[in-house]
Amino acid sequence: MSLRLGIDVGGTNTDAVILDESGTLLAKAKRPTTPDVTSGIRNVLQAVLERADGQAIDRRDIRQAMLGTTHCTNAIVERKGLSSVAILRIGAPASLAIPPLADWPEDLVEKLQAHAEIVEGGHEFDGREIVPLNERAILDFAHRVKGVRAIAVTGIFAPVSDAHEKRAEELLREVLGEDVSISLSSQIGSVGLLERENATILNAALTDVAIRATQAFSDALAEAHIEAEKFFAQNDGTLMRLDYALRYPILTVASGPTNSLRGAAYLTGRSDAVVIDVGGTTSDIGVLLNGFPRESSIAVEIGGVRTNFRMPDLISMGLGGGTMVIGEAHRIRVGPESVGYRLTSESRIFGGRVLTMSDIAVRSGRASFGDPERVADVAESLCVSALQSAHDMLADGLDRMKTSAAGVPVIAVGGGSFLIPDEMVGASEVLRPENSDVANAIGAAIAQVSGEVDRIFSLEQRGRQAVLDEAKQQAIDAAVQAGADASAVQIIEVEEIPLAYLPGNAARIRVKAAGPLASLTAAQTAAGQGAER
Amino acid sequence: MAFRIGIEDLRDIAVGATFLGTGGGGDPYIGRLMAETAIRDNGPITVLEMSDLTDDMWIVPSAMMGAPTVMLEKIPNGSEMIDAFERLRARTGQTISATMPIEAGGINSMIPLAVAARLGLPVVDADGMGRAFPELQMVSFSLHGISATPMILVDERRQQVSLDTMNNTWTEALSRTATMVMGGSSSIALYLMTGAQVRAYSVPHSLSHARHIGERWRACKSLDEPMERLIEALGAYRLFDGKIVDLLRRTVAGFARGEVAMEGMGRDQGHGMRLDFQNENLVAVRDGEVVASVPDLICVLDQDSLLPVTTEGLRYGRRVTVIGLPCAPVWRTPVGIRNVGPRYFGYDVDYIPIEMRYGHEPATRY
Amino acid sequence: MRELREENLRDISVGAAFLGTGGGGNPHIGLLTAIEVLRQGFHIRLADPVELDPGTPAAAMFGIGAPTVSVEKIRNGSESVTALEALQRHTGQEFGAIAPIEVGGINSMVPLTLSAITGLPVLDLDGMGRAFPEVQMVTYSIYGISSSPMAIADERGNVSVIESLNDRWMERLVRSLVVVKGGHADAVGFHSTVGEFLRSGIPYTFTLAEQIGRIIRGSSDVWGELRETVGSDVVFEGKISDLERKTHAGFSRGVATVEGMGVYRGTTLKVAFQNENLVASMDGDPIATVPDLITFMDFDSAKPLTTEVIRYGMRVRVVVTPCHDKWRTPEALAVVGPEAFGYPFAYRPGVESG
Repeated sequence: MSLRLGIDVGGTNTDAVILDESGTLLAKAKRPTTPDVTSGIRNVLQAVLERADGQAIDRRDIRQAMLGTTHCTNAIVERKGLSSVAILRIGAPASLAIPPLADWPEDLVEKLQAHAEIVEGGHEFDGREIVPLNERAILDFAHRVKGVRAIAVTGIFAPVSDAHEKRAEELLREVLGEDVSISLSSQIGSVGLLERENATILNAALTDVAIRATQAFSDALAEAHIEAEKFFAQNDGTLMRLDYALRYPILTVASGPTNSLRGAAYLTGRSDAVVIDVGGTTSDIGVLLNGFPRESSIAVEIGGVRTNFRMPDLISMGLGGGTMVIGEAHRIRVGPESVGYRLTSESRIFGGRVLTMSDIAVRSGRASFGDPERVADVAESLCVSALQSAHDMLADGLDRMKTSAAGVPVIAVGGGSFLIPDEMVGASEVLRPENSDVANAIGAAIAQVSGEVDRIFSLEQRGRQAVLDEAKQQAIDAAVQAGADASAVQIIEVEEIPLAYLPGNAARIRVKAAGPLASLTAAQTAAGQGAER
Repeated sequence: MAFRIGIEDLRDIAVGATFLGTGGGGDPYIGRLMAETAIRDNGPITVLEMSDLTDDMWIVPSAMMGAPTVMLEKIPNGSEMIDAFERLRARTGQTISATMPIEAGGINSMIPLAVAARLGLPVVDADGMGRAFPELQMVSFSLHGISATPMILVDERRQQVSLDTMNNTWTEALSRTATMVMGGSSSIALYLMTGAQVRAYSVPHSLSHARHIGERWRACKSLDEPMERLIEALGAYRLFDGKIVDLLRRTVAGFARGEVAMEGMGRDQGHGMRLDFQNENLVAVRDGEVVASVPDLICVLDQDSLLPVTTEGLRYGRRVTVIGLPCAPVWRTPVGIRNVGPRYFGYDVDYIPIEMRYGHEPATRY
Repeated sequence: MRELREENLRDISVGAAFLGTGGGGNPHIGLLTAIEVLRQGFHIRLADPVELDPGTPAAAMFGIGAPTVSVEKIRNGSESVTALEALQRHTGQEFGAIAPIEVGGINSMVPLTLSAITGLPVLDLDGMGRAFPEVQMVTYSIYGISSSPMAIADERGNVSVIESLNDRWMERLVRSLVVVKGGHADAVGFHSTVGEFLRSGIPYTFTLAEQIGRIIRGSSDVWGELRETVGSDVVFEGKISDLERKTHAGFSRGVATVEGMGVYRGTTLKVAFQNENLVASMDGDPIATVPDLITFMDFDSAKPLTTEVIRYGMRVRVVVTPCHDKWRTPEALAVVGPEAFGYPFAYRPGVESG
């Protein structure tokens, strides 16, 4: 027996699930998310283990534990617990026109009080050096920033060649030893210097947050006597080990929606569908392509800082179980105001005074919770109009995300999924998987390991096919290195964008490969053999 | 009359420049940050109108050349364009009175502003395209026989190439190659002209036009039916509402070419559009019929943000509205059409001005 | 200072072909151009550099590009003058002498023509003592004269002035522009003084080329006299049995295979070239490498052969000549040793052969 534990921290609830090696859900639990995040994780862990105990599940069989958490997002948004950072950009004489931290929110700049320098070095799009790396300047920088907690290193075109970043890391370590945390941009983002540098600085600032988060996770598991390999969920629907999460905590930002999409795919067995996740306040609509979320191409802001993260392409609309219904039947308005997490005190079915979409759903028999008697007086016509408005909003959202007029399968998940009608304009079918209320935690538990290449290749010398093959191989190698099962890694995305205004055949190529955890398949194989004996 | 522009105007100009970029020209973001820094350090910029130019003034346009993707990563240090400008000044031995854009679309709308602020020079409210084009001889000055050379290219290592050529096509070929060796981007100064030449040969009011577009965009964004309002405010033609359903990119003769297919939505339900691009949007075909073509401006607007999507940013699934805007009159002359019309880009299509395709009242057709 | 006559030019051009080690372009076309200007009444003056004021400003002039192109697209004669004027304008200096850069091949002749047109003397020295394919492979560069700024001009009057970070960058920038210009252009760069050229250059190579030419054209014992004058050694005799050639990124690259004759019967010599001959390998083992000079000579006439005239079936002798000592320092070998051309072995001076 080999079990997986998945925990996902959401805005409202923290969910946990235990899956067996065939992926069957054995136990699930839901607890409110706490302001410190960590106690919520403890609470839900305790709850899910109690359920497990009740079903005679041996917690010692839990071999992998996956956490999707908002520790890092919260720290950036609230500007709390951030580490002292020094910033090193490798790129002079280029790039001096725009120094690091340009265009950042002032309060965050003040909070960081970061020392920043730009030293000579960096690469061209084809991997040549802009100028040789100024090693002396890096050593001087290291002496000047002694005592700082973390250093963010960003080299121009580091996604093409990380040679200067790697060398800078060695030099910084010579002076500062192992105590300082060093973030390299080549590990964090893709082409687009400022956005990648921003993400790298944020990553460095999260050094202590990451230590606390991983410690909290480890402690919670240890307290519960679980000895499992520990992973953090990343924002692209894949996993990273604890040691990696300590180095690259920024990659955990916004893993929640991705987990939800992945969980939905898993629960339905569909790899191409639109997922509508209706929560308490909002509905998020995302698209599954080959079992992974379609990624957004727009610059993503985190806490007011522009980054170039891969993020799931989502639209979010103000419709959820707690959304307020205002006005009379003929002039009804649904939302966007919501009672949010106060649903269980303020909505009518729970004895409150505010009419919410949950009340409407209970009144019209779509859902059954709370006290139906308390909404018996709500007019049926009002229910019809409110549900119709909700349907129209969701249908419009669905249509925005679809890429063709033909109907697509829709997967309804989330606590408020009762608002999604069974027949929906634009949908070929509406799937309502069991246990969809914990799709997030399931998504974390089943996450795969990936490798990605996103850089500019010159097609001149070797031709397009050879370059594409190389990029694919690099992505596969990266996935295997991150812990994926080499025999099961697949290419899940290939994108090729020739560079505009640059004759000579250079293209930006992005390839992503993913596969299941090698340790997991190994465990399954071992379990299978065990069964045969 | 001369007027001034400050930091607060830059955002509007940058938004306008993405419209005039007609899918290309590069994201003005980096350029805007550079211009902002320069204005913060040196104060607002004086903008000269055509009537402010005297015949014997010397004016040197400033620009960047190369791949916008490279500029986003290898940001300039800011002295390259000053170097290029100063070298050209030294080379000619003239006193230079002002700089100006050669290209109103994309990042090159911002570079002259950064140069002007840094050098304390005015910038002329004009350019050579009224939009973005992929090659440096595709400017109104060139149609009138102005030589792009002497031209100076400078990179961040302060390496410099100065060119004197027999014609502007040679200048394009040589400077593009030097730019590639310099790592894919360079800062340039070229098309030295007198005030009289700028008055006679440039596309006037392009900076104020870009700012106007940006202001209208900002105002319309928060209105009801913002897309309608914006199209009205810009006097644009609404070519298509739809969703991107297919995207094909390929490299032809070293240039990034592509086609995007859209499926109609709303008023265009049941119809389709194909848009061909090569750096910029070139030809829009609705249900098999050409509805707009280069040199008129074709912009693909994101329906949520109302902002133009660059050809590099086109993605499957986006909901967009395609609009058309008339180009500057200079491109509608026979020599203009020969240099930048659809046939120059390899399409066997006659250029018909967008007003003639749609009648005289923009935005009211359909 | 002496004036060169047609006969001197003919000797120098043959010596230049020998020193071109297969590359550098066929001097014959350069010779015809130089003779033409002499016939028009111009004068070519070759100056012993020690006779001039060491402080005299001077610059190096040379053609750049693929020789295969310059054989076909013959100069109009104005290119080098345009380039010289552009550099003078750019630097604000008037040059008092012209320094050749490369005595091997056609670049021995083009400064002579420029000398005739401008009246400036040509220094009896160069920066190679042979031919090499790239801008930084010049002793001037290695011993401290920068190639930047450099002016290049083509036959259409397109002229570019380039300032680079170093000579390797100059090579990249210039080469790419030359490719656009159609594969060939004339350049003037390395501006400095006569004294500096003397310090960093290889002296009296024009006189040497003239001597070599005289031997090849007139001696009854060519091989013996070459050995005596420049230390040359015949390392192989045979017939060209294969020739691979391609033009890539502005360079002619390839490999010539020679089947042994006489005492060399049963062995094969392969000579790899990139414009110039780089490495000669006998049955797989390198027996001579850059920067030593490897030259194909016609078996009977002793005429030096450039790689572009070599044909299948030609009977040849392969001659190896030691390079100048300025090429044998570690800093020079880092630029022109076999490793600099991508070979996995180091330079060994001298000649090993059977």
